[in-house]
Amino acid sequence: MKNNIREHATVTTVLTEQGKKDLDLFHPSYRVKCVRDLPLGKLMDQNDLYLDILQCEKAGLVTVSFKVDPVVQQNFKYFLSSLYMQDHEGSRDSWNILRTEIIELLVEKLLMRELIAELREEIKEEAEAFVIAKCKEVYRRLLMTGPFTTKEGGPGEDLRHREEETKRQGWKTDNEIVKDRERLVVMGAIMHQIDANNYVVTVAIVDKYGELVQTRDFMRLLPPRKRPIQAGRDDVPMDGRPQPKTDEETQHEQDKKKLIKLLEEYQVDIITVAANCLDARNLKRCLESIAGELKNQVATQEDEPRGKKGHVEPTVRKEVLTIWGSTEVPKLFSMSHNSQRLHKNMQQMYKQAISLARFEQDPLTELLNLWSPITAEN
Amino acid sequence: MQKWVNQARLADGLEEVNIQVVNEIGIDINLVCEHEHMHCQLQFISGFGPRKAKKFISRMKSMGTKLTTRSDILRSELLGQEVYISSVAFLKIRVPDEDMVSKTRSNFHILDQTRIHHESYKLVMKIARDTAQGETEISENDKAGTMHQLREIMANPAMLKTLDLNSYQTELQRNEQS
Repeated sequence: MKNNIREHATVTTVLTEQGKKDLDLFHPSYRVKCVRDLPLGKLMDQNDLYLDILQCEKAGLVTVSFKVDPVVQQNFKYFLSSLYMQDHEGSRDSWNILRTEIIELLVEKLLMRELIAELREEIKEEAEAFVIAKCKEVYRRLLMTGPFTTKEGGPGEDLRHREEETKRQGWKTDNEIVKDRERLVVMGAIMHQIDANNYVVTVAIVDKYGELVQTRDFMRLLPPRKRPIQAGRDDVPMDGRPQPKTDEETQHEQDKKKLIKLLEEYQVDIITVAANCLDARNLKRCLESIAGELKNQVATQEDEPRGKKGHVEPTVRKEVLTIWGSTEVPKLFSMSHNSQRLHKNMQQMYKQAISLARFEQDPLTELLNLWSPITAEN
Repeated sequence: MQKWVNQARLADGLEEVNIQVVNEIGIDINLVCEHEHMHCQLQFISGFGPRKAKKFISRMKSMGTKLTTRSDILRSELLGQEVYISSVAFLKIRVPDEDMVSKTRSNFHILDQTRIHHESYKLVMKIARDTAQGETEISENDKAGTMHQLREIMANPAMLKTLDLNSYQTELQRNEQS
């Protein structure tokens, strides 16, 4: 019978006074407003819709009613009658009239209500299972990003090339270790505003295994804004001499030098910039230019006349890549149970910068670090 | 929408994904124990849980040396027999080059670096030998040749496609019966 109802029942939502005010075109649950005699079969096709309806019902925005086809209801009554009155078929005794009345009352007042309540619970379970399955799918995809994958032709391809190269050179021993994937040194850079005109750039460098090696704050890493040209004065004086550098420009130069020193010292491979504000674009541009300067510096050193031994040791291995990084995971990490344990008494921004770098390096580990033994925290 | 579902069920589902993914990839046990921020991976290995993982790491730390083979785990009593059987396939043992200097390479087993279970090593080695055809045929006692072949297969897994799996399975079953 439940299956029969499921096939023929329809759902309708009616807006409450509150719903009329709140459920406008910009409300995330606007679609709930338009549910009129929607067959349950179709409702199940849009699995998460029922959760949306329930949420709106809970918030007092709509009232939900399930309507069952009267024919189905009548068939149900016939079915029950056939069970209770089969011995007295054709008789017109008062008992049978009473039975019919009771069955009608039972179906209309009790059974239908119970069945619909059960059905609602079932649909809710299915909708929840659908949402959980979707969440699992997305989460799995997220965990499987980056260097780890079990699919053929994934990022492990580099490793395979390296193996082939080793094979060509010949195996040194029988039990040689299969090398791990190449790990990179990553720098995370996050920018945060301290007042209307000033930003602080927090950087954290993690080594190839994700261990924190350095953190630093830069007050003037971004190039200073152009000076406004005052009335009656040109930016460049008539004699052609450039104006002396302002304090801001000097500090900017110093910060740049410090950053270049850091990049060289720790042999950073990737800089990941947090995309958390519009000015982060300037930061990325600035870091790209610094990386470019470093590259040119190496190129110039290589072009210089060779030493006595006939070779020049490059100071930086290769070009430093500058990429965007999402701030979602770093934010969650900085508030997580594990960050309290791993980085005691450390500022939030440092934690975020570390997490940003680690997430780029090893997304799986960083995502698992968000996991807390306390269910409510997850 | 995930806020509207039963949170305990959702957490269970996501934990299941954690377990599936970590076991699918496996962990480098030496690396994980060495770095604190990687410790979280161990609890999701089959047979482990948060408590066992914590205990295992503290024992590893007190041991002071890195593991060189999977059987070291059992020998050093880091895990009980049952947990060892459930988890060993997902614990890879890779030793970085810098740590190799003091140790002889003959201690390492190439299959310890894979997700193949300890119990299946013999079978894997047999399959590796059987993939070598013609002049390069490897005898059962030729350990060096088998290892070399295993390495070749690991570098180029397409080599396994030369085996006709159905007929190979029937042959193996026939051999077992005889």
